[in-house]
Amino acid sequence: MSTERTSPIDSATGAVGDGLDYVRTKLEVFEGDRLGQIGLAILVTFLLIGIFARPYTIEFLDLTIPGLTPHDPGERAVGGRLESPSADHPLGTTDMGRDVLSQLIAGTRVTLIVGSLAAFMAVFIGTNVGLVSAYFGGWVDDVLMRITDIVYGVPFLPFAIVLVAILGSSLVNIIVAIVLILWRSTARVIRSQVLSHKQRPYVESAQAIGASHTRIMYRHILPNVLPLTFLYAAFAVGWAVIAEASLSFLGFGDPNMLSWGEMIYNVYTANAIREAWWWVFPPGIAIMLFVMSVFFIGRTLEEVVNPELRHQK
Amino acid sequence: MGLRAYVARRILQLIVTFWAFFTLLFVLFRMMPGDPTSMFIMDGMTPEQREQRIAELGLDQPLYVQYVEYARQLLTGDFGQSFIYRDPVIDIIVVRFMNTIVLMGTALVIAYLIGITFGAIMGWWRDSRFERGGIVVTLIARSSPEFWVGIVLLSVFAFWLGWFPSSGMRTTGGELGGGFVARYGSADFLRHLFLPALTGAIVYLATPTLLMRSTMLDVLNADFIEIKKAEGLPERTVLYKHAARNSILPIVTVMAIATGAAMGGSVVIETVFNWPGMGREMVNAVNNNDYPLAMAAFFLMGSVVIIMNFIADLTYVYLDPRVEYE
Amino acid sequence: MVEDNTSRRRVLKGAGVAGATGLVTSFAGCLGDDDPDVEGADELDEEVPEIHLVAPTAGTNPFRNELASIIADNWEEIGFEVDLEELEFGAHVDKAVVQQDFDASLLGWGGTPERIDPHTFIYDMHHSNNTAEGGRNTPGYENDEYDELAELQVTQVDEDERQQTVYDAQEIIAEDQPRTYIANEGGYHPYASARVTDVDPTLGEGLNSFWNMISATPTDDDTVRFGYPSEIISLNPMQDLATPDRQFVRLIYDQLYRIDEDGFPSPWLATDDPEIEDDGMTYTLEIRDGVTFHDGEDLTVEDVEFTYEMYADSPTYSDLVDVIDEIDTSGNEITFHLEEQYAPFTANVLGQVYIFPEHIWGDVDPDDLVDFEDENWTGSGPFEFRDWERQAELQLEAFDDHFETPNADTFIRIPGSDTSTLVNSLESGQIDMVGAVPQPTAVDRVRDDDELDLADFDAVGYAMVEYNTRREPLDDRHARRALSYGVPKEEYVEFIRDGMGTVTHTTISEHNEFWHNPDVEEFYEDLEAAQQELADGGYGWDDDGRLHYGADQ
Repeated sequence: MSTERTSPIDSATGAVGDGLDYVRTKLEVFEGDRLGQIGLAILVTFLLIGIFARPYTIEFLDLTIPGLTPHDPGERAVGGRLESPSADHPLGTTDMGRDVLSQLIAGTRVTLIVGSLAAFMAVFIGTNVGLVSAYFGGWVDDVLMRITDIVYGVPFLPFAIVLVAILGSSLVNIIVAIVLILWRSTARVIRSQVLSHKQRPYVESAQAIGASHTRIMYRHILPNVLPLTFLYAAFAVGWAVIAEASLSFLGFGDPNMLSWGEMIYNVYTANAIREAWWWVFPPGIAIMLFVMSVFFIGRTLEEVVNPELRHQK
Repeated sequence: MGLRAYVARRILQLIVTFWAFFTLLFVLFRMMPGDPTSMFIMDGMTPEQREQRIAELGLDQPLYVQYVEYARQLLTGDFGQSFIYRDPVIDIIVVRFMNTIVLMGTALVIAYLIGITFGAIMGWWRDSRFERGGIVVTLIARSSPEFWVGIVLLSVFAFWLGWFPSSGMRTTGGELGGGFVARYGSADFLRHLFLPALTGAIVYLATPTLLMRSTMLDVLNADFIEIKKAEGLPERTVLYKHAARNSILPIVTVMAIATGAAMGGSVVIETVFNWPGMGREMVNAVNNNDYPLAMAAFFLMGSVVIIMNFIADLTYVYLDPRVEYE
Repeated sequence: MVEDNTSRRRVLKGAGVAGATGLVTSFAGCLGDDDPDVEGADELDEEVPEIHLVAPTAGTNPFRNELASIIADNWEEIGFEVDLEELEFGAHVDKAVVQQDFDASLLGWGGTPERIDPHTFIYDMHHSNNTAEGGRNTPGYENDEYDELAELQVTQVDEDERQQTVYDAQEIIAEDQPRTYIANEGGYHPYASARVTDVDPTLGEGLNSFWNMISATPTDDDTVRFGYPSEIISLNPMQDLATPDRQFVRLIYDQLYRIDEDGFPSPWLATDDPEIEDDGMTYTLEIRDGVTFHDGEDLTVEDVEFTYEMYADSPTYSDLVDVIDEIDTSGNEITFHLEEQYAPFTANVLGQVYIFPEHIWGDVDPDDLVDFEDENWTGSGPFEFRDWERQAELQLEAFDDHFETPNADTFIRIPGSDTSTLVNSLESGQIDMVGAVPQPTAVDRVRDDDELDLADFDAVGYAMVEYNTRREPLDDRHARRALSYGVPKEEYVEFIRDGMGTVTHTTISEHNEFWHNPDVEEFYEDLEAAQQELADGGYGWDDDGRLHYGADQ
């Protein structure tokens, strides 16, 4: 590997800054793209719900912004056992008399945290692995790609279950488990993209003027593969959310953080799927809508990455 | 580098990959809290019996000794004995593995058959209402977690309409064992298979559909299509031959990955439908600290994916001579 | 105070997510943190260490999981700091019972038939001999006065004398509270009344009982399909077995005595109650005539003698027959000479040893017993083995030559991934009985279904909080008693379990009528009493309501 290094954090922030510029200039792709617009709208809605889910207290202003949840989502017996929707409880209550709507709203936050953090970390790792692997080639490439092979060999859910059993079921550990698996696809795709860029004249001329490896990788090549990174980030958000929901559904979720997956797990263990449709469907549909929104956005980004798709229109 | 040297090197790498994979699993499982006696303690195992059992299982040995011993065993094709069941792991796993393969294999085959056809039509009728609707439907299917699809299907077809059984792999009480056809060919089995396989198919449908569509678009845009058309070949023939040829590579690659995902995802479907498969057995084994059984299950599942990837790589080289043996 | 930060988990649940519990707010509310109604010590020493409460995950036990968060809330309310950790069953047992790395642990003790005799609950669980890692005295409770009683009851063959000793013992532990005895978790086992009749749920086991399995009668065909939420491990009685395994092993293999529906050992392969000599160390009984094994061979007194010798040599179960010094046979009679008096001998030894055919197991080396595969699992029990595919089904058929022929010709055991799937299968007609307690919602649904019904049963075992008396502040009786006042037993039974089960205050269930002492000290949820208890013990509170040791303590 190169002996010259710039701090990885510098390059990371650089990458993010570039990325933001990029997004700003490219946001126009959403114009005229119905699906993308719908996706954005849904995502922004969830974002707002997530942010304002619970009350905030701003101490120095002595001000409390009320939360969106009508009740404390964890409080037992705010209503009767398994009440169907009513004015008091628009989405009914759970078997322990908790308010479903409040749980749904509170669960948005977990989804947002898992989705954004896991996707960012997974894509960050994946992009770097792909970049380094393709740029240096040789044994570096061999080692990194074999590691990727192994990670591909690890079945995700069982692995996450084992990891959570070892580390304890907290949201952080669940995110770690997701990231450890999710980076693999980004790594492969970025690698193959970088491989083709490596041969191009601009890289050769950079090498000719004596630019460092780090500089070539992060200043010259990275901006060209960033669109692909963003595309994979969008998909990663979706996969991460599905992964968290599946883990929670199997009972390995964070017991202190109520997520949508865990809500369904609770209906399932309460054996109330048949009668409590108001408790089953909202979280399921929420997961679907959320993941759908990022996929719609991803599809729009795909057209940025692959302009040919756009020209066909 | 020649083809042969390339293949030789890949095989070598494959062996190293397997070794690293195995080591990773070993370390992972030894870090799990608890030991295989935990589940008996509340049922009356005394501390003396417990120590004796731990010694008998070799768990009091230093880790490296256990590691070498287990590796030696595995090299001779022996997965050892289940700590809990005390039966050879292989006996327990083979049946379960087949059940999972039949379920997920059916799901994948359905998903790929429908997906490829559907995707090709979508590409062919680009910019039509059909294409746009198709994309939305595909993306929605892809956005649904397996357990959610399973629960919805179960609610509608098993609980509400009562058309299909809600759980299990066959009606109980019949002859057990029997050959492959007897086990997996009966109408009763197919009835039980329908909902779980459909669940899997819906979830895995999106990838081949979208892939096939974009391949189709690529082919339609390619210059050589115009040339061939100019040569007077019928459009459909051109399309069929080239679309098929161009789609094999990505489909094969994606299928290797999808198999892995399906193996891991089987846990959820098996739980929802109470299917006696590998995924459930694996989760049980993990919960019971039955290391040999859990490791063998992981190892087999992982091996399927690693080997599928390996084959995909070789197919790639074989089918597309332009690929350098890098 | 050194704390392992990585293993700590916030009880934010208490502060924000779970909130104050609906039913206890009435009087929890008047105990504001800043203003304890009870005056504690004037001069304070350091803070009382945080309590590390280990509890099951919602997946392992949804009821107890729910209870744990209320307990944590209450304890914080009276000034403790609580660190609630939720674990899967295996990890929980490992941490609490084996490693003993806990302050308080919410677990349950099962009430299998052999535990109806009070020995397990009195001696094994509370005598100071059993405090080793993995021992049943998990709290590490040591009380000389109690130990004497626990040892005395073993020797008392006279039941009334023994009863008095067991009563006295219960009084001592009720005062000391090494555990908070919460509730006997009885409940309902659902079954399809349209497809099966004559179900016979018994004390502690419900539909899992032996008597139910031989009594259940299918109405339209000849098969009973029984669902249970986990697979059994083995049918080899010499293996380490868990309760669900024993429930099927005992269908295939017979014992000399079986625990009857009322919890007492009654003659099975033996013709009558054993004759016990006055020293209480010699038991003589006669073996039934004309009993055969499933393969047609006669079951003789030699088989019985062989079995007890095999147990003595086996690595897994030699403990069970340790107390036997010598065995004599004469004709159809067999005599056991004990090394010392052992009152529960009939229930816990003669009632638990399965009789093996010598012609099959005779040549097996003791070390190979656990791995021995008798493909047909030949026993002499009312059911014989037919076939088994793990995770799918276990098929048994009635053994027509048995003296108690079961009512179902075929008995199938179907493991499910959880109780919910089993209840679903029951409702859709794929199984006939479920040996597990469903959630209240499913109970209601079953109750409303014309084809289904509920078999209710009382429990011998109980849910409990165990306190690690090896650690501060749980070495102090006042602290434990105060914590016990923080456990909402009634809310647990009435609300969380929707009325299933009964509150308890002692180690012997009230349903075990003969041995249960109804007059022990009772601990209901009462946070004020908890604070009074702490004040009496010399503790005090700081301005934030946090509990401190008093300077005089």
